[in-house]
Amino acid sequence: MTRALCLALALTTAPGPLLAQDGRIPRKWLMAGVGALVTGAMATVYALAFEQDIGGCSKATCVIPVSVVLGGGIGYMIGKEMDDLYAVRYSHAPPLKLRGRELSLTMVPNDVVVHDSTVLVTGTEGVEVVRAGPTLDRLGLRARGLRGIGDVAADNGRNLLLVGSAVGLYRFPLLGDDPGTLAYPGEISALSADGSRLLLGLGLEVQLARIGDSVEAVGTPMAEDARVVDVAWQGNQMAWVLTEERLAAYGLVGDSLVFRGAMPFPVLARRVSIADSVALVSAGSGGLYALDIRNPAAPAEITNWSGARFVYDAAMRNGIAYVAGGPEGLYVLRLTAAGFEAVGLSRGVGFVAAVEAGPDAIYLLDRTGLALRRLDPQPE
Amino acid sequence: MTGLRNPPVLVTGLLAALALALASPGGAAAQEADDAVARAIRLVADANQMALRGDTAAALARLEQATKLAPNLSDAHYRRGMLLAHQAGNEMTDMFKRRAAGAALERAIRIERGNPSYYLELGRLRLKQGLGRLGAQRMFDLALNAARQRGDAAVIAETEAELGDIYHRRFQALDHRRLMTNDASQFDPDEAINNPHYAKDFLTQRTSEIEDSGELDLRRAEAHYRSGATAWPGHDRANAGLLGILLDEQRIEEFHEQARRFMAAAPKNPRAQLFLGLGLWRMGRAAEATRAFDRGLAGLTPGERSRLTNLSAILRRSDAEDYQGLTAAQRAEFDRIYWAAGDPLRLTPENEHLLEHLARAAYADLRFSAPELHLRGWDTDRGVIYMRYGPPPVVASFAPQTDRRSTDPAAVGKITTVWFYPERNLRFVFYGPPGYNFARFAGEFQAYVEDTRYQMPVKYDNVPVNEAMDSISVQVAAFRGTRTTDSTELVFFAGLPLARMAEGVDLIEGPIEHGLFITDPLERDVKVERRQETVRFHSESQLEQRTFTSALPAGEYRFRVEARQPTTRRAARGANRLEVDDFARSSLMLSDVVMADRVAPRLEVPTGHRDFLIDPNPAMRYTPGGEVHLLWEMYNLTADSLSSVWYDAEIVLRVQSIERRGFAARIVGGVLDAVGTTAEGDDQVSVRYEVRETLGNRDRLPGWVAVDLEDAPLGTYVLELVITDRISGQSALRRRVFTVSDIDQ
Repeated sequence: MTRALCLALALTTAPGPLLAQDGRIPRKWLMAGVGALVTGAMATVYALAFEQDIGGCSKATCVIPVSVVLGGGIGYMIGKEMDDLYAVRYSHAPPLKLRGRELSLTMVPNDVVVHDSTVLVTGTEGVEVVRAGPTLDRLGLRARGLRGIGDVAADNGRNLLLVGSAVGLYRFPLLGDDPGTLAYPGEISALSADGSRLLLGLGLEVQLARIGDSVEAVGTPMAEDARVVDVAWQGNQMAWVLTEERLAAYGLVGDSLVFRGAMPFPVLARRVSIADSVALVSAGSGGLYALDIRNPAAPAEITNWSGARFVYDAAMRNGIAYVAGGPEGLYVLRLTAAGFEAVGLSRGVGFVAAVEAGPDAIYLLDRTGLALRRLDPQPE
Repeated sequence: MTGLRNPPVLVTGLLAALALALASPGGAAAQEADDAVARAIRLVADANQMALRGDTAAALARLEQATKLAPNLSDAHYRRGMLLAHQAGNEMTDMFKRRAAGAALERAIRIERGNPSYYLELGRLRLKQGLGRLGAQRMFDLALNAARQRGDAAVIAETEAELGDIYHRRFQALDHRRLMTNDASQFDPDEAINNPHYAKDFLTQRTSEIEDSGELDLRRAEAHYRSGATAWPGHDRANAGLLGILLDEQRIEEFHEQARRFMAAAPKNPRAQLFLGLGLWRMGRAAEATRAFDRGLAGLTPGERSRLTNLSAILRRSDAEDYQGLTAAQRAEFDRIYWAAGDPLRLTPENEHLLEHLARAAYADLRFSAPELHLRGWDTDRGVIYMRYGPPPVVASFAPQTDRRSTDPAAVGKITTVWFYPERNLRFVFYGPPGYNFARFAGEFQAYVEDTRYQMPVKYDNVPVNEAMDSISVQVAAFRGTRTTDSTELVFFAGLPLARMAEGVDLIEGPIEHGLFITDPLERDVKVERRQETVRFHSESQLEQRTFTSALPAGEYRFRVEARQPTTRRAARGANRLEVDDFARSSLMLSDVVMADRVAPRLEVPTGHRDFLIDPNPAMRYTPGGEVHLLWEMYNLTADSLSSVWYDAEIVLRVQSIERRGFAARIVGGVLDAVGTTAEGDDQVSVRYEVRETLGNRDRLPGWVAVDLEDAPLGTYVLELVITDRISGQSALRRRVFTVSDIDQ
């Protein structure tokens, strides 16, 4: 009996080999110890209360060790399940706790865009405008009632909010309650604004436009073989167009888009994020691609990371990639010469459907928790 | 698939055995043995053909003969074991069949240890063997290892799907698990039927949810399904398992991508198309969903298509029995009429209810099918409820009861699952054994389900277009057609709720589509008129009335007036039956009375309703103290020699339901300018006046009048217009019902 109790105690307190590499005590040993202690204690109480021998394993010398072994065994099995779950959850990155602030939303959010000091959250009820910063001040709900909202863009200087939808491009004041107007009819599958220039994804085409008192198409639209899902400007002269099948570079010559080069993907691409000379392409089950885009004529794959089951979105800040993994949470990766190196996985941020790097922090959407979260960036 | 449905495996086995036979050393004994093997191989081939034809008994006899002739012919043992295993269910009575099947499969394994199909089949057999189920997983692991060594993608996928199913069944036993708190010990299905508050109160007050319950099993199931789908991208079960998990976890983007991949790998598999349609429809991509469902239905065999599109489950029992008695052609016509009548919005190209029905069927197939029990999802109890009422907003499950003194012995050892639809307070309780994707109605729920089915055969509350659906008031007025036609001219005065549809919309203006749809009783289009215009959303002066006209022969029809804002996806509709009568050319007749807020003639001598400015009141609802303007046409008044007509008009207002009695009415305008004509009464007032007028060459005579209801109280009124021809002595009557209400339309 004494030996069994000692063993149980030893299991719970044993250092060194019983610790996992990340410093976590394997729960199978912990729970085995707890189980052994609890059942051992109960058996001891029983043995002290009933001293007579009624046959079978009713003596203290039998009851206590058997109980300890049984309790330890059950605890071990429970703990092993916990360890296995832990291993499944964190198979591609260790746990990571992120600090930040949360803003509850009144709608199911779809996407987040950060422009200067403004965070735009699109969702089922419109566009929630939030001031970027530690306090996440709510500035108002725009485009109320508009359904099928896709991409959005903003221009603080012009007090302009552009909202793409399945019906057309709508124009709203960024601040103020004035209603919006239809600026460009037709399906808008993606959009990106850069000053007075606007890049529009029109389903299977991409169109350059100019923003003035109205939105006017400039030049002829460029046809793509697959649906345009995202667009992004790089500097003044380069636009990147992501279709479901490829990332294409278009140079700006006068008022025309000129195709420069493209990088195809074997899976459906979803979002693109440009950070200096690197493009991050979120490719769903295909993982996350990092592309070297210094030569637009020949964008080259740097690395592909497929740790997440499905990459919904990604953003990069100071060499750190933040990957929206949906129900898995937020993966944090460091881009090195050897590829992506997992920094950690934060599971406490809900169903991360979109992520965006702001000038001061990382912003992400929790779709099931209906929240916008602002995270303090990770050190480089 | 393996076994008899897998000719390559059979051919390989036969060739191997034949090669072995041919390679054997000479000698009479050896020659005899070779002959025996060759005969056994032929017997196996025969058995295979017989089994394919469905003659299992003869096939088994051949296989038994083959095993006696060539005891080391593993394929013969394997096929015999497989046939016996397929024959055996998981009932106690099949114990001996299972045992014989197990022995045959084990023998096959002993002869050829590296064949993954043998382990796979033995694993499947173990799943039917009660405690033997625990050994199934080991067999599948062995099958997987062997299949990987051989690089057999089909068996890898099949085995991964089996392993995925094992883990997923374990997860399902814990999914939506709730812990009973306070003094609750069990959920009582009978109480849930009898007490309408019980289910809600029990779930909210006496249970607490256990989060992440069974997550490890779910993740393992997903990993296995995914591995299966990776090994063989077109594998049905692996894809179905994976898609089911993705959809249940609301990972709709992943679902869509996986469904596309499945469809690309198995373009001829109709289930792949149906699952893709389900995903697209849940994503709101109706047009693409329609195309995917169409492809899926086209790919099904006639029998499967008939089961998928069968409406029995969503009809009342008596209707379903009649429906089952229809011929295929009659059923197809019935289906067409049913869905045409049920289309929530004709303005959209898709039929949202049909899409939802197909999506529900696809979901039921995806989530409630149990291949091991030969069950298709839409035939199961849960599948039927899902088809009728859609996804349950609240799902709860409780651990199996172990107390044999339980109120319901059928519940012992079963998981109790509750589906609760709060909006309509519908609740359904199922019992299911752990480890099986199978559940049946608990207790007396079958009777409750039938009652509910009678009252509410099907509901599409979850369809987005219904969530934002408003109503349109339509006043229909029938006039006699022109002299050259026998048809009746119908004018539809519709009040589109543009202000309500624009509530909370941050847009100055936007497009609006509206239209009139008239069908005959068989839902064939008689008239379709669609219009599109841009309206200002928050303008006080925005007119909401729209008028449609149509000329129709006498008969029965149905009409719809619909409006839709594509930008906001808000919609409204008004629909009703329409009985169109002929206007006789001989006797005195009246058109319908148009009830308006204002009527004014545009000409000095108007010839009919077209010569009037009409501000209609489609809802026929007036505010207290308001004026009721009436307009009608009179036909076949008898003219005297000077072409003059002489008639009496009587307007009777009768109270149908009212809060207080006693009111007055006064004619304040109209053709007679009879200002001051006043009548009072307790529950009826009558105003009568006489008219002499020159008919001229007009084929009808319009009449109009405005009535000030003065202090008429809130309520519902019947207005009767009686015209009596003083010359011919004939009378004609028209009636309208209207309300006086202080509620804005």
